Amino acid sequence: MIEKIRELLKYRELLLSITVREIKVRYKQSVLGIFWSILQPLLMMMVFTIVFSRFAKIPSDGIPYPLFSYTALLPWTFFATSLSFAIPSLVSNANLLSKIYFPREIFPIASILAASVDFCIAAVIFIALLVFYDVTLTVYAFYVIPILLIQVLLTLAVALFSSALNVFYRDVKYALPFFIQLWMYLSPVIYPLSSVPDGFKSLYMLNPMAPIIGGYRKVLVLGASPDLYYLGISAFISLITLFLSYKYFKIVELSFADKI
Amino acid sequence: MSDLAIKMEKVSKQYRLGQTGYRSLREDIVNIFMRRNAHSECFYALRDVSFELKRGEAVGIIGPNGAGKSTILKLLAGATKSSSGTVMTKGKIGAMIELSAGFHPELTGRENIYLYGAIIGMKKSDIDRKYDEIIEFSGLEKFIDTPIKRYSSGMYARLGFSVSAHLDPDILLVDEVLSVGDYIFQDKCISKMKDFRDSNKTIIYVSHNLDSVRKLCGRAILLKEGRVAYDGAIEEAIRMYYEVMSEKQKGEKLARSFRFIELRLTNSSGQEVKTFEAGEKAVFELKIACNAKVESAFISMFIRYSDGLVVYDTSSDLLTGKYIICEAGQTILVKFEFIVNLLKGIYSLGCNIARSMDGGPVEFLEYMNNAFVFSVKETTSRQGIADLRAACDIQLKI
Repeated sequence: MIEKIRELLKYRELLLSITVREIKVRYKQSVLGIFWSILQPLLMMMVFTIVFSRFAKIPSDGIPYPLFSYTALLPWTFFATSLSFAIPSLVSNANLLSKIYFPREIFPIASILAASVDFCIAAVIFIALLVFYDVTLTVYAFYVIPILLIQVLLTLAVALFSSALNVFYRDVKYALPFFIQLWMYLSPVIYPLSSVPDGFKSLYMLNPMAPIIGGYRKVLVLGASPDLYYLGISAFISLITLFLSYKYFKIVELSFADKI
Repeated sequence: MSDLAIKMEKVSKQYRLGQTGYRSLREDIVNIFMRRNAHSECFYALRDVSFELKRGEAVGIIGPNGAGKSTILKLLAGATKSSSGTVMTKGKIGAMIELSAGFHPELTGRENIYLYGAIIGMKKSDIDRKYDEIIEFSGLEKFIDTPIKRYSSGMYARLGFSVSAHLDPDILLVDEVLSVGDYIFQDKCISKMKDFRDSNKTIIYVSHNLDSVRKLCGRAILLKEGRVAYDGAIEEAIRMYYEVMSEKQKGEKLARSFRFIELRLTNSSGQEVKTFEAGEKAVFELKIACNAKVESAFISMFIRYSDGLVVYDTSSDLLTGKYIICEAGQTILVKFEFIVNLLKGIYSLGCNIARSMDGGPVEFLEYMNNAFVFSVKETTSRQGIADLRAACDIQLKI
């Protein structure tokens, strides 16, 4: 395993080039270009605010709903965009895979890196919202670093496994949008963690995205400590799944060229 | 042996027939429940292939389509694994393979050079260093900041080849990359590969262009249906290749009613030549066996420039004003005479037999696209393809 990672590091220039290609190409021939990365979570936030806050009166832990939802939508969009680019990435580069060798995980990883650029741009709006709603950051805000790290590990785990599976079963591609949507409803994006009934909570928190999304709100907007117990479980699940899915990826990688 | 660069030992590669690689989950589930295996039929792309290459050797791999040439490259490049046997390579491997997928149409030539270089394993600093050389080699200076979706397919290939030609591996794998691009560029590529070979690097060269294989390699491996049919001197390999091909063609054309027995391209004194002087007379003779009764046959001959452009195309019915009527068992002798009013370059001569169906659609009965390749020699420095016999008159008046 260590050897595989070392090999991947040797190919970092290729990883960088593929990432740059992804970024450059993403918004070519679109009028709004890079603004799409801001528009997407921003429009979602507006619709959510109108529908879920005004119409459905969903509580938001005393946080203004636009800020409440954007805090979750920003990392969620990062997660969803990463997956939707990573999962078809192997199949769409079939021609390369079948002819030369390099670590194949470069493609899903590059998709995630490219999505992180969108994430950073959309984060500007988040900062603007913090200023607008006059939120003071506390020292707990530093927790955002480990939380983001856990999220990236989890994204990587899902992306590696699903992109490899997509080589063998194209069903994955069709199931993906549905699956991501379902996952969002099972994570505290629209509603606060406090709405989850206590009896369900330990089961609910097994979804590794739940403590992550909940964590962002706590450390950034509420200025409190995250729920370290559940966050720890989330980190554990993410690491184990990443280990297993990378292992799976490396085993089936050998037959990509024949199956794709 | 220490100077071994490539060693393949009893290598087989098996593919499953019946379905393309991927499946749908539903099919797999159905198969599990029905206890049947949909992929039971197998096909060997390679079977018990063994050969060795020493460092500094350039070896051609030839053979008809589907003989397993590309599979060997894929195995050596590490893109896929053999089903059995061992593949050993020593040193850094570089691939000059048709990889247009490595390009992105929206990016400029410049951006694609870096992308492509990274894909085939070059470091950014290497590309920086060789950047000017690469562009000069490609001859695409003017278009380097244009998105390559505006490029022609020839320009695509040139760009890709120019990058990979500046790679510095120990083993170079070359696939049919030269088929695109004009012959000047092809010559450039061959001489680049020669430099490579002469600096003690190992080359595996896969091509249908036997002439370029001969230029580069002293040894060739002939593949036939996944097995090594011959491994040795290039001339013998090429001779056997033609045998294999004509066997194959015989198999395919058994039902056809016409066959070329003999084709000759000579100069006016009856000598078979490969070079003509501009303006010289040429004679093209065909001997054709006829195995069916046909009432409206005609023979065409056509000359192409080395980039594929048809320079001239004519046929017996146009020249004689009538169709050929022939019986089974007859032999048709055809003689075309033409003047080589062409300028300096390499041309190919092809021919075909066809019949007109009630003056309407044409059915091709037999063809030979590159029956001969000849060059035209010329001492003046006129440019172009056709000699239009231009005249010029100058007068000065006060």
